[in-house]
Amino acid sequence: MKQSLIYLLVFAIGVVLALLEMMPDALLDGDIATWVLYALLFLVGMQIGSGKNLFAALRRFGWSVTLVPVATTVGTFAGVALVSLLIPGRSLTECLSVGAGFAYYSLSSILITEFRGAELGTVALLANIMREFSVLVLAPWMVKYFGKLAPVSAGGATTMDTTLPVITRYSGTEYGMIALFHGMIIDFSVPLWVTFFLNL
Amino acid sequence: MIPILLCIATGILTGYLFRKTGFVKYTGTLLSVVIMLLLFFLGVSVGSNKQVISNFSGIGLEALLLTVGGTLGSLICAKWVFARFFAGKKNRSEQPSPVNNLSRCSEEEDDQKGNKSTL
Repeated sequence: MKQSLIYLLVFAIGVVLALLEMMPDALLDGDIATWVLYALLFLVGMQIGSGKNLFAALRRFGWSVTLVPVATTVGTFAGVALVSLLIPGRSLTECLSVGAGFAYYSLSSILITEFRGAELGTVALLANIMREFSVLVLAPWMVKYFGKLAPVSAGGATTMDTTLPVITRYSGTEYGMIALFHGMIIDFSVPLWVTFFLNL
Repeated sequence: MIPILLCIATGILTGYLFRKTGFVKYTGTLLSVVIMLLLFFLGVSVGSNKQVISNFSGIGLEALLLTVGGTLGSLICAKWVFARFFAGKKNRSEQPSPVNNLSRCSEEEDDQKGNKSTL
């Protein structure tokens, strides 16, 4: 938990520094973040490669691994459909398009901004950042109350990159392979679902 | 997509080749540092987006509701899939797990089956 609070603090410092316009323009450039992300992916790969459970997950769990992205999709859409009843200004399909971002905030917010304007696009950006963030911060709690697959499903499309390290950390290295598989499937499905719901 | 897969693949290969050396032990620590860097960038991109900041309360509440709905829904489904297809298998083949853990898993399974049938 201490680590999660440090993460939260680092995020808040980023927000405040940007608000105070104390960030040098060079840092706002997306290139640095992209390279840091690549470094992260490399390190995650190293952790998986040096572990003993490289192929143990797929061998042990077999075909049931394919149920994980299905659970993520069904659960997300059901939950978002229920919540859409509480948001009077938004239609069911608009809410589902936000949910279909599966924490892939950059892609989903760009797509939604293009189809439905910047306001819903901003909702998508925030909602999907929050989803990613909830996994980074609450992963130990998710594992405790919802089982070891919980941070994988909650992480959506990010389980192959940014949330992979917390999954391998709290669910175990063997769940890293499930997370990679799950992330790739969900990742591909995001643009399909988002455009599908916006065209309904 | 391709650079992402390449980064992970080279990482796995590097980790596998150097798995018996000491320096892979520091991977976890390095990872924490890199995650912090990425979260910092995430904060900066939120803070420098004027539209997000000016309508923060309304947009933020909507986003929060959608996040809670979507995340909780996926957590409940993940719990069911874990209890039904993963927990039992693991208990049988790998670690001998404590008795209370086993009984909790089967309880969850029954609960979830009950929920499904009422739906």
